[in-house]
Amino acid sequence: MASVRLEGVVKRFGRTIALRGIDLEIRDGESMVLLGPSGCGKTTTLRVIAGLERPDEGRVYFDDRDVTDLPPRSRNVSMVFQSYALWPHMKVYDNIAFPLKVRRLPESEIRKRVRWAAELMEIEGLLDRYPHQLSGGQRQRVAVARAIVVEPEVLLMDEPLSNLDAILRVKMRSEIKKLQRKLGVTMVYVTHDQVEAMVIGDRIAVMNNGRIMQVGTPSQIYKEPANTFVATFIGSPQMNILEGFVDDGKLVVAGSELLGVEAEARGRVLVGFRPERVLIGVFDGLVLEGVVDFVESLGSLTIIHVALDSGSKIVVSISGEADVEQGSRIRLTVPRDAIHLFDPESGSAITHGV
Amino acid sequence: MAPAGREWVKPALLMAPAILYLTIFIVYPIIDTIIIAFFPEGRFSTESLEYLLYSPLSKFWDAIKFTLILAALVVPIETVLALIATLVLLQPFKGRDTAVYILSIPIAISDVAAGLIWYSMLTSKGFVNKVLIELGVIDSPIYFFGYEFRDRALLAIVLAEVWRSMAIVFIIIFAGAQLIHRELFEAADVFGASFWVKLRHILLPMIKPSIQAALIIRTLFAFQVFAVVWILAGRDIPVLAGEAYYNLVEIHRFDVAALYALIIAILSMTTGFLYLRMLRARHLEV
Amino acid sequence: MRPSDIVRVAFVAALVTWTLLPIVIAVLYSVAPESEYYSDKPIPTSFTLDHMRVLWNLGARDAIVNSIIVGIGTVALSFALGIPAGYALARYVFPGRDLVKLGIVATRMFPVIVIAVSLLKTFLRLGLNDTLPGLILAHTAMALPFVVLISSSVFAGIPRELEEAGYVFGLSSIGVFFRITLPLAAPSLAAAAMFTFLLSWNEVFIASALTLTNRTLPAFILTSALATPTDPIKFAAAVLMIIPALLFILIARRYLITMWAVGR
Repeated sequence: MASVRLEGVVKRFGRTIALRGIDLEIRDGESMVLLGPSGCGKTTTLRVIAGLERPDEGRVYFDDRDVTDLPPRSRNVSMVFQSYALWPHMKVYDNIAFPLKVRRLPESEIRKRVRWAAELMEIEGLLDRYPHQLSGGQRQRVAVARAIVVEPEVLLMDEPLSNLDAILRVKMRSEIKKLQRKLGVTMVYVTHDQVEAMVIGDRIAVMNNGRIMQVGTPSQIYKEPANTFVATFIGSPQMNILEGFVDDGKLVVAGSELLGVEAEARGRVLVGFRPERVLIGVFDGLVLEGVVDFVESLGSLTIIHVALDSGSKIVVSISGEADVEQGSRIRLTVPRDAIHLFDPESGSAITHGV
Repeated sequence: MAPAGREWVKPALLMAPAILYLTIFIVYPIIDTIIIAFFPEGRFSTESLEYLLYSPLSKFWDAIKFTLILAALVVPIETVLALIATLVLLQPFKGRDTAVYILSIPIAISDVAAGLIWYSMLTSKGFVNKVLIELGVIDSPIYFFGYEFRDRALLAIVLAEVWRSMAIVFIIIFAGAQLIHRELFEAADVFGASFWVKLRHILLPMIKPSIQAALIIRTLFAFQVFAVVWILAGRDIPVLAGEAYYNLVEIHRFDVAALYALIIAILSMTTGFLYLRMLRARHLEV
Repeated sequence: MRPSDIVRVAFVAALVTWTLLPIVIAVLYSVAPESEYYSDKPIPTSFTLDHMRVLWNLGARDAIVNSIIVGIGTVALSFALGIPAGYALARYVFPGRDLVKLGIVATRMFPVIVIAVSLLKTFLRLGLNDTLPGLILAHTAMALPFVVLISSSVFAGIPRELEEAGYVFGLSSIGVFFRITLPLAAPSLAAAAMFTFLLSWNEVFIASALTLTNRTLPAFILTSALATPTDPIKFAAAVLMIIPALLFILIARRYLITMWAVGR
């Protein structure tokens, strides 16, 4: 096992810049998820760690070993590819055994290790088949088995669940998490799915436009987003963001006022709060009034779209059924600790809870 | 490192042998051919050109004429036939693949064999004459070959050339049509498009690049037509490549042969230039 | 059956007949006794190998051996030179790549006839004329652009992730090429090799120009077999010529369409 450290990694493809200076430390035995929209550079970061891309600037370290100029085969990494990349001309057994054969392990050892990996992934019965004879889920398991059979220092996963159907995806994501815990391997996992990221990551690095926007535990990312990008990217429905004003301990937003705000902010701010933290009725906190625009009943969840009197629109999410009617007036409260303030220029967080 | 970077040393090393070989065996001979044609004794001379244009032994103008006539007849006919074949074979049916393979056979058949095969069809004791006599359509065989039947020989050559080279046109167009997503046709069906509407507004525009490519490749090779003509008509119907062959192999006028080669090259280059320009234009459209 | 289906069947039948009939006739006439060929019967009913035998003794045997040697030599040389280049074109992004590709397309388009004059002159000087190695060199010049372009499209069709998995799981670039890429490309490359063999087998202009005694089959037919007064012997020659072609279609038919969709 090893820790991974990226220092100032820049990667360009022709005129486009994929990575604009990535600094990231992945601890030994940790599961790190790279999360972001497509084109944010998460896969490129993974490929730089794998050695499939050479960074234009910056260094990559495994523990304290500089591996920047080493080819993939000298790094002791392994990888699950998005397409699984099972070699179609080899049977499942040979696919899994291949990395061991390349390392010239004795035949008996290879057989033992392949069996171990196959049992772990519950694919013992498939060893004699060719990849094209497998279902998507089975292929995925073979790809994981091949990746863990070498006991890599770093296990890399590039959107491994994106080609599976929804039910299988839910099952596999917890299995992968359990597997990583059990093996204690350092894992870097790329995904664009925030739920997957939350389940799998010990920590998450949220990326956008070639930069890391925030690194933190799933709970930190959710509760203390470092900026409006992370705040709106994480959580569904999206965090509400309204323009507001802070003056002398008073927060003014959407025509409502909240006194006793202990923030260092002065002047214009962006006010964010999550739909699921909004309460119906008047309590302590920021009270907002408006008309119910539209109600989506999802059974376990009710999502209410509200047009505030100030003209802004917000979304409220209530657990269970909610007794609201379209067109009726509604009063809402955002508790103090659910309010995030962001700098309107940079988007950086000023405070979480007021 | 993995070949993902933009390094150039490795690809250059990998490309070098092939490029070197093509330089020695294609680029250099082209230059050499110019020298052979115009600098036979190391000095500039137009002797070969004068022979070509004015010698009573030269069949240059006829050769140009027949080469162009053949191209003008063969290429359009086989393109239309290939289009029809693509149309009737586009929708899958039982035996479709076999039919496609059969229509592709001539792509692998040499011009020498094609010429002889059509000789077996059209000679005075050939299949066509025997069947027509058997059916009582004619009393005595129609002669296709020999100097006095030059027009019929031309017809025989056109038949053989169309038969031989339709396959390549068909395969290129069919391959292009195969790439069209079925849903495009199904969408047209949903909106009630007729066969002709589908043909004109979906199929033809989408296989236009393939048709263009096939047309130009074929035009280019049509300028090199040789063995079929040589076998079926000899020099009775002179063509450029045939004259080059005659001068090179039979009377050893290297300078004249070189000049014929250059004329074919110039014709081809003009067509090839169009081809490359169209490729680039297509690249821009995407 | 709907009327449109009947029209379609009619067209398909006509096209198939148009393609197959001349081949069938040539084959039948090549094995028909002379007496029957010169009779008025359109379809001969007896069988003889006389014409083949005459042709064989006339020199077809040596010509076939020569053709096979030249064909195999051409495949070997053009693949040895063309595969690395095709791989580089498919897998690397390097400055001038499009220009190189255009150049190779251009040489493929260039009439081989053009190089025959110069090659004959050079070969006469070097003593390479009328030798099989000389012909292999010339045919490789003709086949190489095809091999580069076709192998490049074959390699481009192999998903890059399969190769990257090879790198990640411990292979060097040479290891990846020989243990991942080449096995995956093998069937398509085999089809391309067969077609390259046919390019050489069918080529008549350069072969006739460069050889005199060491004729390949088409050159032998063009010069010797055509001179015989007996028609069926000519048909027998045609049949000998097309046997590899028919084998190629039979074996490589699955690759025909894909080969030309991108290869050209």
